[in-house]
Amino acid sequence: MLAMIFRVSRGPLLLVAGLVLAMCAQAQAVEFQTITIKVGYGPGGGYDQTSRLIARHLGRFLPGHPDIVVQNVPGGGSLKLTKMVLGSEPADGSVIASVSEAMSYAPVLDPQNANFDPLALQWIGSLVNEPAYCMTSKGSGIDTMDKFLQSDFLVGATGKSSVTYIFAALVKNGLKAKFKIVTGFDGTADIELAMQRGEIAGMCGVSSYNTSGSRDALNLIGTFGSGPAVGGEKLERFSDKIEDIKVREAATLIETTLQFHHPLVVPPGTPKETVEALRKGYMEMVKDPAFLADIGKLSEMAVNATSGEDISRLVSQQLKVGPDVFETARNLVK
Amino acid sequence: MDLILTAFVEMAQPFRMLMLVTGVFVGLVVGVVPGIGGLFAMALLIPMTYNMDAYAAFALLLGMGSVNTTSDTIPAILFGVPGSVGAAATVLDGHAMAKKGEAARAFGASYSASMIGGVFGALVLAAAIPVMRPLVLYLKTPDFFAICAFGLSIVAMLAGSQPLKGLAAAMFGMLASFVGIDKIAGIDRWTFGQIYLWDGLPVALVFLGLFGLPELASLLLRGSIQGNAERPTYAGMWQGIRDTLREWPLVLRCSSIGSLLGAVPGVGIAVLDWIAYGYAARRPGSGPKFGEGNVRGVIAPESANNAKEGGSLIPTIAFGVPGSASMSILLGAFVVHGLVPGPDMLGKNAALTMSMVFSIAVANIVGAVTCLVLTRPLARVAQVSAAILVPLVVTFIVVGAYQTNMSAFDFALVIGVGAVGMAMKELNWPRSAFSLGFVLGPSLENYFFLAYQISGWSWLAQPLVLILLGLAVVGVIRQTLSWIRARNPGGPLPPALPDIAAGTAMTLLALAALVTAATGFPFEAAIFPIITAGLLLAFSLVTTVRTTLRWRRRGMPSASAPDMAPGEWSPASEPTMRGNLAIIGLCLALALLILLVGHLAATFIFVAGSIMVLGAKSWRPPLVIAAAATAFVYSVFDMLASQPWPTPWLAGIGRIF
Repeated sequence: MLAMIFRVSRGPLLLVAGLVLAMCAQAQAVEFQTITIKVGYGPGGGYDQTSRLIARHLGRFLPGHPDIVVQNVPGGGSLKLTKMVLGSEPADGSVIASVSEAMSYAPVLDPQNANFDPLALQWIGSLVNEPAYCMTSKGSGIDTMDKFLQSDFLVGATGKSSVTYIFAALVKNGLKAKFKIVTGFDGTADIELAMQRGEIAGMCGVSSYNTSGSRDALNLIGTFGSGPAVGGEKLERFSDKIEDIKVREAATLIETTLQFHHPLVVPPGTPKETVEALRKGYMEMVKDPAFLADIGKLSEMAVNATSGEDISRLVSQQLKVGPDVFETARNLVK
Repeated sequence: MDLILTAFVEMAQPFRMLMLVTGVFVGLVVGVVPGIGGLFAMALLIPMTYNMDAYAAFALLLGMGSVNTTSDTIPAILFGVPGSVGAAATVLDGHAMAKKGEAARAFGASYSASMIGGVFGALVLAAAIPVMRPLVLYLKTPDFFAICAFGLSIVAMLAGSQPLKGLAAAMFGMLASFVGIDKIAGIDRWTFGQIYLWDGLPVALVFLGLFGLPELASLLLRGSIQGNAERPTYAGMWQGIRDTLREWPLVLRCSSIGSLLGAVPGVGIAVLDWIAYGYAARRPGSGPKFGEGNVRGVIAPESANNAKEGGSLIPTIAFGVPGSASMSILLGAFVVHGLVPGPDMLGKNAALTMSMVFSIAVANIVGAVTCLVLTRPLARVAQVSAAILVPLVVTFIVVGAYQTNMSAFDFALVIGVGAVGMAMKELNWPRSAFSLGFVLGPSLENYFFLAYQISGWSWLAQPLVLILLGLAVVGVIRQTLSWIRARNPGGPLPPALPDIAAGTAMTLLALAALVTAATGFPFEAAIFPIITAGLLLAFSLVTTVRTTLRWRRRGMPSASAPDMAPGEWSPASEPTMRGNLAIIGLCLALALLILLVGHLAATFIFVAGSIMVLGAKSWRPPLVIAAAATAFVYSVFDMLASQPWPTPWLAGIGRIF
């Protein structure tokens, strides 16, 4: 009986052995066939556009020169895709995901919905590393940091888990500012239009390239994250003004993500060689003139890439702080 | 004038015209195939425009985006399957006309209305160029809320012969639209732990199931689309065109509705379509009742949905705020070509803006003429045997549905909604009212909270808000009065027992929704669901009690004489259970096949197999049809809209061993 089972299963066994061998051989010389970049947002937004551009160029810098296609998997501000990457996506380099950088601390801020370990994600690289701002419309009359923190006015935001809300809440709670946050707008363009209509006065957590069209109609108030402001303007950093050390630490924790805006990730089980090939290709791509020219067309976004290794380091640093800082951070962006 | 001339000269270049025509043909194909919307096609086309000049790029994109609302009526009229969300309202009367042998007339009316509407929308855009920015700035958030509330009041026109059921259906639709993560409090409502539901129920899938599957069931029973009605004539098409011309005031009014509402962010094509339809339903004119093949019911939504393209460009060009979802993708094209939405588009780049007007107008004309030329062969489809048509249409619905999220939930949703749609159709719960509630729910809630957060309650006193809300209230009161006057309409009523069961189920559902919302959601997220569920509870409870009383009074189920043709607002008159079960069975079989062997092999096996089962005389035609269907699915879903399909189970198993 046993022998029979053995005999019957010998065929498949040989096949499995062969496959394992083939996989090992593949692991030694990584070669990509077709890659899908899945985007955690619907078509049209910044994540979608940059991903489609990366899909056009990244293949040239990877062994095997794979074709790259883009697929949108919107849901929960890319939380849905992040969970898919951690659970069901193939870990062989055939799927890369473009998710929000906020996924690195989503479990900290929203432990109920985001019950995963951000360290398990393998980061490939990110495009942008630059500060974000709070800004107001010229018509609002709120043009200084003091007025911003002392006056009673409205700041617009999209959803509660969006950067527009998180950074506005950080200022409001961390610096006891008096403004109110209005949620439910459709995007930064929608918020800007409401500012022009005079319905609200400002917005927070926005990068400079989001507002390139209407710079003259806006006052920049202050910055989040490290690095100089656009055009060398002298602006105060909000977290520097926070006096309580623990609160400031929590604010810095949240700001860390600004250093790796628009990141790409691959599933946890992806072989080391594949991850390295992707990281190497990514860093070559971001220096490529043709890629930079295309990005330049897309927006005035300045590519300032962060390597996958650096992101992993930042994320693990971010998560090393004590649980009380997490708690403070949670309250800070409530 | 110079501006128009410059734009005209720029567009006259052969390459740009070629791109425009290419866009039109892609747009027509995208419109015909259920499941691929203009939105998705736009995202695919954008990267192709990187190396073109701006004129050619926008000609391609707008050419594509302008005409999918022209061709999406083809499956809507022939099969009752909306080719895109914008064709759902056309299904009601367009498909009813096809059943009567008036497919050609319906096509003629719908294409000519589409063309006039599209050109009208382009003219509105052109006229708006000088006043665009002040116009958009004039409308404030509370006005958007009032516009949506006014839109919802149109439900009263769609409620039909049993108004309470109509209102209940609208509330049911709104309740369904609240599924997903809410925008204000950021909590999940009725997602049952499924990530799939976070973004709510996908509109395209809901409409496919709600309208497409029930119509297929009755098609299967009838044997062919027009049953025994007389042969369609080509002359019907000219009659349809004459209908449109005769109804020119309606065409212009609905085009205005389309272009103006198109400019309101958050009011999409699915919304304005129903508003135009409800508006037309107020004055049915001569001819059959609405829902039973009245040509005005085709003309109204078709002129409105083509007019929206021009309208939704207004806020996009003036402020970079997309007036619709596909406009947010078009915005990507602006940046790629170094264009900044805003004053520049009306000054320095005004010629380009004018060329967009030109592209939309020309695309609509080319699209409509192409469709008109195709009318003769298409109208013949109305005589083809259902045994061949049903498997083909099921394939497109199911593959198209799967394409949305590539998840088994897509199947479950489209089939589940299909079953609900079948019950609603049979028991006289108007699906049109459900649709309007479903598409307006989220905007109503969101604009209400934005307005409330911005200015408390004081916005209720703004003049435009007062006018719009006043109009809505007047409309509802007038309609209610006419219901009271016509207390016993005497129309046929659906069989009592299933009706009582459905009413009871709806009441229980409303109660469950009410309780879960009141106890589980924070206040901001709970208030709209509570109001909606409360109203649904009241309406469905009263309907159920009334049906029960009627049933007990007569002592027996009342199968009253079918003195009018079955339509949107009168229950089905023949036993349809067999057809319904057959369609659901076919969909399940295909869904399973797709999961097992992938969409291409599944298409072949399913089409060949089901044509044989449904009655083919020899084995050759089914195989030929199946091969052609597979080739078509491949060319549309793999080549035109290339995307990674999930690995079928069998292939997955094969890989493990």
